[in-house]
Amino acid sequence: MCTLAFPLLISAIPAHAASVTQENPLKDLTLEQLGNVEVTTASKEPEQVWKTPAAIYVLTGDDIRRSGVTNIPEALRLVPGVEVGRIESNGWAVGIRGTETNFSKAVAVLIDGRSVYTPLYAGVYWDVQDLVLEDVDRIEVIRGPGATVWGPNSADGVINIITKTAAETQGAMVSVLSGSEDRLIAEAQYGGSVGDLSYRVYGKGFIREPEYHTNHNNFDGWNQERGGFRMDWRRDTHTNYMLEGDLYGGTSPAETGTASFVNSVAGGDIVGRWRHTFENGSDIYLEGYFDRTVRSGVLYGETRNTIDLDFLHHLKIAERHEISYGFGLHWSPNHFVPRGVGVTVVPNTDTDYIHTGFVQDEIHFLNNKASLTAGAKFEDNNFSGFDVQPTLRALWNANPHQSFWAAVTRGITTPSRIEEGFDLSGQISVNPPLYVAVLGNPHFQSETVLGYEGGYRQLLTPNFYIDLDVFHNKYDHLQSFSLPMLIGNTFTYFYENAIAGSTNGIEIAPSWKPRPWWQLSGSYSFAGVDYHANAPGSDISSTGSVKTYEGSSPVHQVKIQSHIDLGKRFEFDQSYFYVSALPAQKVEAYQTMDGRLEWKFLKEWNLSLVGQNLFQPFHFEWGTGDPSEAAIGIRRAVYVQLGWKSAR
Amino acid sequence: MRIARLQLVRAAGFLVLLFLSSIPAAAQKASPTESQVKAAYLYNFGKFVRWEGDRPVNPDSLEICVLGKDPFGAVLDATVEGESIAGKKITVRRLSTVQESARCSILFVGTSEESRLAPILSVSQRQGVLTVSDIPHFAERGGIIGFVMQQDRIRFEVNRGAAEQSHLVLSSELLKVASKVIEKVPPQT
Repeated sequence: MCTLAFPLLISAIPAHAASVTQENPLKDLTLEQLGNVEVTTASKEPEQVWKTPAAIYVLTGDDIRRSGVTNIPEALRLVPGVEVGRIESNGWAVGIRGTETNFSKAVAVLIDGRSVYTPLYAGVYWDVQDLVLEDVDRIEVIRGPGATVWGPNSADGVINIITKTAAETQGAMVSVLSGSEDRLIAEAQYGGSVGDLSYRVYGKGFIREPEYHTNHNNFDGWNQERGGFRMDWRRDTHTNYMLEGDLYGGTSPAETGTASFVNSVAGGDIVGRWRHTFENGSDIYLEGYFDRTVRSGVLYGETRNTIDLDFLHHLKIAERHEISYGFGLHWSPNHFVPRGVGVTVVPNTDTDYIHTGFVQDEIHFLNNKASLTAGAKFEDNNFSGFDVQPTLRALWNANPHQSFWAAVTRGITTPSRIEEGFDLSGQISVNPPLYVAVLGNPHFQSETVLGYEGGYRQLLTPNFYIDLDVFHNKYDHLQSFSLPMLIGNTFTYFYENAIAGSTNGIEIAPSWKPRPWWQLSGSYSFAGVDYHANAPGSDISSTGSVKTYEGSSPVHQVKIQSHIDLGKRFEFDQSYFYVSALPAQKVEAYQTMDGRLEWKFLKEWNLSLVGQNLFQPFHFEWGTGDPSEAAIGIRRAVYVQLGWKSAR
Repeated sequence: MRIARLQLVRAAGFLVLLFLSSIPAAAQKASPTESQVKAAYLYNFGKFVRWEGDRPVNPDSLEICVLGKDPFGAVLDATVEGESIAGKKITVRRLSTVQESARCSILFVGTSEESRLAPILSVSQRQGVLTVSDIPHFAERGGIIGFVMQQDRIRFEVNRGAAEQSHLVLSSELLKVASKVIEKVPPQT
């Protein structure tokens, strides 16, 4: 690969230096040689990262491809400050900065602007969030209370999954993967275009094996099929339309106590978007979507339809002010079907809605080297009424390779249907007849966070970049359980908001290219958590108590990725993870490593061999919260993938 | 666990050595910049294109024009200094409107002009100018040569239909090296 005319060693000359030597040493190269010259761009990160006063990290499609992961939650593991624990074959606990729970509660997860958060339990059903990973252009992760322009429930962060436009995925693609954990994943896709309209259609199916069970109850094997399309129409240089849709169906097993069940899941979505840039430079964004999810199991079923409309207008005023304002309307009629003994949500049928409006002013000064952003998000929802979430941010680009930023933001987490209307009851004794119940609280309040954050980014040399972020988040009204109250013959626990506390931490993420063919990146993060209860409470679940909040997030995490290009045809990649203990989940500290080798041949084919979780035959990443359920170990796995892409 | 720790220590040691060994080297040669590569390309393209048709150009010079925000600065002038193609001296001129490009042989369209792309391309097509740019999807949109970044390298895409419309003949050498050759004929205006 290295047919370079001269050595590529490092220096700190920025791309557009005024004092350039009077000679251009490249002018005598042939066209072919020019095409092999490696250039350094002024900044290793996309433009938006330098100018963003928030802890943003961009996971590129290439990072995802070379990590060898086969689903989205595993890809999120690579991001500094994000905590991912695999619960079972079809479940993950995802959190940001000390908030890891199996509900992924206050992280706004969006796929092309469509929220995949469920108001049923205030979280994300990771088992149905899937797509052809090759179609992911990037995943932008913002840690900390979401900036004003992001939608509701972003108090802990935003995960924005962005797929490639149809124009970028032209031609035919087929991929088949088979391994010990991912028994089979098959994907086929075709992209074409008609004038300025480009499209792609895809189909995907997978079968996944159970993880390791100490009690040999291998219940968590599962499968899913999906198909969908995306169309992009560039009407002219100013206007873009996008339409995409998906349909899926499959199984999703679950365990309760000593019994296990197979639930079925199905759903689909359709998303449309319009973007227009005006002559004066301002732009408008309008997106609408419909999403339907159906989950049907032995304990309960839920059907949920979601209709959403989002609008954003971004304009420049008086040379220095960049104003953004917009609104979001989100309606979610849903129907809960109780099936199992004693589990229901009251009322069964309801419509959850969230109306948001926001406005933000970004003021530039010091010759566009500094900016001050003031904004507020206004939210009205059916659970907790009206709320305001203001933010103040500042950014200073000391020089083109260095920036500092700081922010103060208030965020809230909307209550969920479970927290307000849950009703779980069971009999604990026959003689005398005694019952126990866990009830939702119709007066459940929103959880609040006040986040103080700051960060520093520097391109130390064209090949070494560092990103450092610190935070102090103060939480209040966190979900807790009351002491049991004897009401009639039932011991009753209520959902309450009696826990408060703070998280503090730092994330250091360097990125270094020691050789043109070797990219190293990684992070160390520290998240200290300190909570207390404002009223006596009970510890009856995997979350909702001081002990579980404090002991469910790793205090230390180390992540390292290495990508090596061996000639033009081979890629050798490794990922290393260290996660410190989760005492409340009864999980010890662990370290593990993934490795990947890819061979590209005959121009259109590729063959990869991937090993995952290589250090041990299995290890635990999350507990079950229920002493009668055996912990589930995540197994060492290996797979082979063969792919074909037509030459475009 | 013990084996893993040993491997980690070994890996860390190797990394430290690598880092230390590259520090003195860091003081030496500069990495080429985007401007240098693109300027070298612009100069070279002139050797692989033939302008047919009647053009009111100066017979003694081949003009490379830059329209809009100039990303090259002194680099482009330094690249063509003292050079000639087919006996014609190469000169560089900066324009603010596309109407001034009648005498240009090669026109580099800066990214500042993206919103005016359609009218720029229709004028330059009529004038038979070789249009080059790093505006995204330039060749798809009717430009003749568009720069694309591929893994830290600068390559280019060619729109052969647009070249034909502008009465330009692109040498097979050029087409062979292009990362993509598009046949789409841009709409006539």
